[in-house]
Amino acid sequence: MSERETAGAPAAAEPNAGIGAAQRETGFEPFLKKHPILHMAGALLALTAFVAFLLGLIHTQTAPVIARLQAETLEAAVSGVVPGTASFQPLQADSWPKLVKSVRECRDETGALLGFAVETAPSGFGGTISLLVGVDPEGVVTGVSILDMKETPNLGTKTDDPSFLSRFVGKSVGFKLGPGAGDVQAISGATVSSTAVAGGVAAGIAAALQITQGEGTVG
Amino acid sequence: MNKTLAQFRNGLFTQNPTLVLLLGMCPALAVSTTLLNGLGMGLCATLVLICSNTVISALRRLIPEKIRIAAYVVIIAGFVTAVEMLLGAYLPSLSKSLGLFIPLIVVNCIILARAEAFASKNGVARSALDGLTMGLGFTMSMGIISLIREVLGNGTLFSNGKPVGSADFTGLVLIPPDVFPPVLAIAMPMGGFLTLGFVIAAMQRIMSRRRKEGKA
Repeated sequence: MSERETAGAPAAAEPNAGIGAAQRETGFEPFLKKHPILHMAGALLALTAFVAFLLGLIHTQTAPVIARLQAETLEAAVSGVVPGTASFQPLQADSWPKLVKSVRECRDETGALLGFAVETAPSGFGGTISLLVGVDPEGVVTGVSILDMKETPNLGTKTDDPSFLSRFVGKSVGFKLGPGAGDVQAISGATVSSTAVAGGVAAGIAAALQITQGEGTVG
Repeated sequence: MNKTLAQFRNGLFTQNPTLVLLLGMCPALAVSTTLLNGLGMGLCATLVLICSNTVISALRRLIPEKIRIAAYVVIIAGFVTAVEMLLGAYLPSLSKSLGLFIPLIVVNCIILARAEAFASKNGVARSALDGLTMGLGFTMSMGIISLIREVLGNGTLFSNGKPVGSADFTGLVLIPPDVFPPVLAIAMPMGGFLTLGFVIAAMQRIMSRRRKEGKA
C-alpha cells in the first residue's frame, strides 16, 4: 500500500463543502461535526450500499447468462468423461461419500446405463478444485475433467491437461499416486494439486460403487 | 495540450508505475509468464483504473478524509467485481484464462496509489487521463516482461499457456523444445524477479542517458 504524505490535503481543507452549503440551515452539518464517527460511518454505509445496489443490478443481468454458459459447459464435460452420453439426470441419495457434491446418471440413446458423472470437490493448493469424474457401473474411471480451480498458475494448473487427467482412465478402487507400475504419476512441482485430483477421482469411484453395490464402499 | 503530453510521458516513462515507481509488483511477477496473460491483465487493470480514478475524483469532496482509503477500496472492488461478472457473462473465454487474476486487481497497489496520489487532488478529466496513461504504462511494462519470459521460458509467442504439443495449445512456437529446451527457471517466479530486475535496469539506463543528453 502506498501512502503519500500530502494525501488528501485539499479534501481535508474543506470537508464536504458541497453538502454543507445545502444543509447548513437544517443543522445537519454541525451535528456531523460534533459526531465525526457518525459522519464517517454514514458516508461509508451510503457508499457501500450504493455500490452493492449497482452490483446487484449487474448481477441480475449477468447471472442468467453465466448460469446458461455453465450448464452448457457441464453438458460438454459430462459427455467428455462418460463417452457416448445422450442424456443424463441427477441422482439423489441420503449421503454421498466424502468430497462428492453431485452424481449424474448417464445413458446412451437406447437408454442403457453407461455410467455416472460424479462431481467432486477436493481441496487443492489454492482452494477447492471442482472435478467431474466419469465412472462406469463396475467402478472403472472412464474420464476426468476439471470444471473449475484456483490453483497456482503454471504449477497447479498443469493438472488441467489431458496428458495428466488421462492417466486416471482405466483405474479402479484402490489406485494410488506414485512411481510404481500401475500407479498414477503426479506432476512434479504440483504434488498438492495432483494429490487433490487423485482424491477427487477416488471419491468418484466410491460414489459409483455406492450406487451399484449398495452401502459400505466408502473409500 | 502540453499537460496532456506530459501526463502520457509520465505514465509511460518518467513515472512508469511498474518500472520506476515499483508499484504493482505482484501482478508484474505472477501474471507475466505469457504475453496474452500479461497484456490481458494490463488492459483489465487499465479499465478499472480509468473508472476508479474518474469516480474517486468526482467524489473527492464528499468522502470524509479519515476513511478515504476504505472508500477507495470499496469503489475499486465494486468496479473489479462488475468487470468480473461482465467478462464471465459476455467474454467467457477471456474470463476463463484471466479468471484467477481479475480479483487480484483489487489489491493492485497502482490503482490505490493513483487514487491517493492523483485522483483525490485533481479534476475528473485529468484523473481519467491519469488512469489511462498509468494503465498504459503498466500494460507496456507487463508486455515487455511477459514477452521476454514467454520467449525464453516457454519458447513460444501468444501461447494460451497450455503445454507445447498438447491438443489444446494455440500460439506460435518460436523455439521448438527439441531444438533448444526452454529455460524453465525464467517461467518460474525466480525468472520473474530476474527479468523484472533487468528490465528496470535497462529503463534506468535509457532514462539517465536521456537526462544527460538533455543537459548537454
